[in-house]
Amino acid sequence: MEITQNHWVAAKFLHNKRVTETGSQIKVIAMSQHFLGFGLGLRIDHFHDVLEQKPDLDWFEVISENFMVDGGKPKHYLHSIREHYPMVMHGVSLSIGSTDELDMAYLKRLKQLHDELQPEWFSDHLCWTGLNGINAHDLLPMPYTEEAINHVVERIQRVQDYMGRQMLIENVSSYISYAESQISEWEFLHEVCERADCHILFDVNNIYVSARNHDFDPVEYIKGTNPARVRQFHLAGHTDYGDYVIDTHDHDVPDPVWQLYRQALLHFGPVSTMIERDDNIPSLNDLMAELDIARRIAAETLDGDQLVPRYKEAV
Amino acid sequence: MSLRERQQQLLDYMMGRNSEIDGHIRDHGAISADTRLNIYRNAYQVRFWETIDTDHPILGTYLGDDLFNQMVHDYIDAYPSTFRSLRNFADRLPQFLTEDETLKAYPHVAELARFERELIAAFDAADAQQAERQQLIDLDPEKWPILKLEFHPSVRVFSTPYNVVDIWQHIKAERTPPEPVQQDETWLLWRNRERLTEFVSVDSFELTMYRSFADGHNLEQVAELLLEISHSDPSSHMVNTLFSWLDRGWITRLDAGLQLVKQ
Repeated sequence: MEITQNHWVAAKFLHNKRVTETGSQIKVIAMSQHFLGFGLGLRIDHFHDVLEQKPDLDWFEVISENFMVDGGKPKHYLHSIREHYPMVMHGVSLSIGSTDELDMAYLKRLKQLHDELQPEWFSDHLCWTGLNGINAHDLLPMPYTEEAINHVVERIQRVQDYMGRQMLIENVSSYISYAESQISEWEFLHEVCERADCHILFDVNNIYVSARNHDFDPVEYIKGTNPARVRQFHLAGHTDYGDYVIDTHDHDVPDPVWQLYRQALLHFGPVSTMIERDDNIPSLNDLMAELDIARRIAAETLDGDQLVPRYKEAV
Repeated sequence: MSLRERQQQLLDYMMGRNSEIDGHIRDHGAISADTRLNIYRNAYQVRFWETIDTDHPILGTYLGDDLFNQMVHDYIDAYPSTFRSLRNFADRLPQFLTEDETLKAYPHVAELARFERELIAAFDAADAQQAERQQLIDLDPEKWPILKLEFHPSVRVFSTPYNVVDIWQHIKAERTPPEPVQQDETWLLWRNRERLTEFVSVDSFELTMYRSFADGHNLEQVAELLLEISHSDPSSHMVNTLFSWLDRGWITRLDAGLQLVKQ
């Protein structure tokens, strides 16, 4: 029989499902081809402990810009740790929403690091970080307008063409909303990702922070996001000032974010999950204990078979 | 109103410049547009302050909080970041310190900042293999005159007219720093085999030898130059110096013409 395009697509689809027989019924369990399991953001404070202890976690996320250097100790550790763990790359200065030209020199260095590390994927934020060559080193929100959608979509497509693969775009936390915004943040994220054909790094904490700051229901955000686009979760802590919340990443993940994580799992199914801690960094053991909370919530929320990391299944 | 215009307005606001952004920000809930915008403006200052504080711990201690905070504030205004990584943000701090109205009267402060920048540069310079002393021992004696050296990318010269390295070392050891003294000094910085940054004072003999090799001269040419300045046979001193360089990991490659020195 000649294999048509449709047959090939169907075969790929079935390959992504695990079929098990339960009595006379066939139970088809949706397996995420992209589920890496539970990971942490790799931080300099933990380099030594990671290599010494080889902690029982599934993957690390690394901040791309931290390793866009020629050499030295951090990069040496990075490559040593890469030998033991899958990695994903997370950037903070692509500035995909800026109206400056795309920085091709930056993209070249990003691609070099990407080729060195061979990550599972790479990501950056749905934001802008500077203008006229000045970098504010902040993740600044976009107005949610058609002009902004068109602008960002075109640039994501160019980045994906240059990198030769799809990227993940992360929702940022924000403290302002622009008067000209015509749609909600989640509608904006949805439109951008559908039109640019990119994936989503869904930051659960950022949604909680922005929901508090802008008085929206975070569950609506979750329900308005296409599960097929979501490849990764960030979990983090923040600082609550009562009237508003600031995304500081210097505290443990608080209860409301865990609750939102549970809601996100229900809607999205198994998604590679990690804790992102950038300041006031605790010991590796403490972070591992916090990651166990994520594992427990996922185990309570999803079917056990869904939580087998992709690469472990292949072993 | 274009996207670009709105971005310019917000950035201007964050940088403390005149801006009309506040008329385009929604004012709702318990927090005003002003409070919301100030979160970004404060973060702009704090982020860069933390970067300089991390990069220049000794300079910070030396200046004390008030002077350091003023310096950081003025530097952020004078030299906003044009870099993708915060690692480079303070690259122009030594230059700024030679221009700042208050601090340019104390030129050793700029030198102290420049020394800390060089330490950072050595810390994450490119990797390269480091040659061993045995490679020099194994070299055919007939090839010694044409020997050329390739230095590790982390090796750099720090020449300064002030005793800032001594000041740096005292503060690092939590001791009272000496008074600034105008005196020419030259130090070589490098990243050692454990990937830690080190520095050592070099005399004119060693500096001349280093610069001559770094310029691509071979051992015979370097020896002739050293003979001119030392007025005595430099051979023994040169050999000892070469071995010390190899031990420190300064040299990545020994090049003896067609004879490739095995690793």
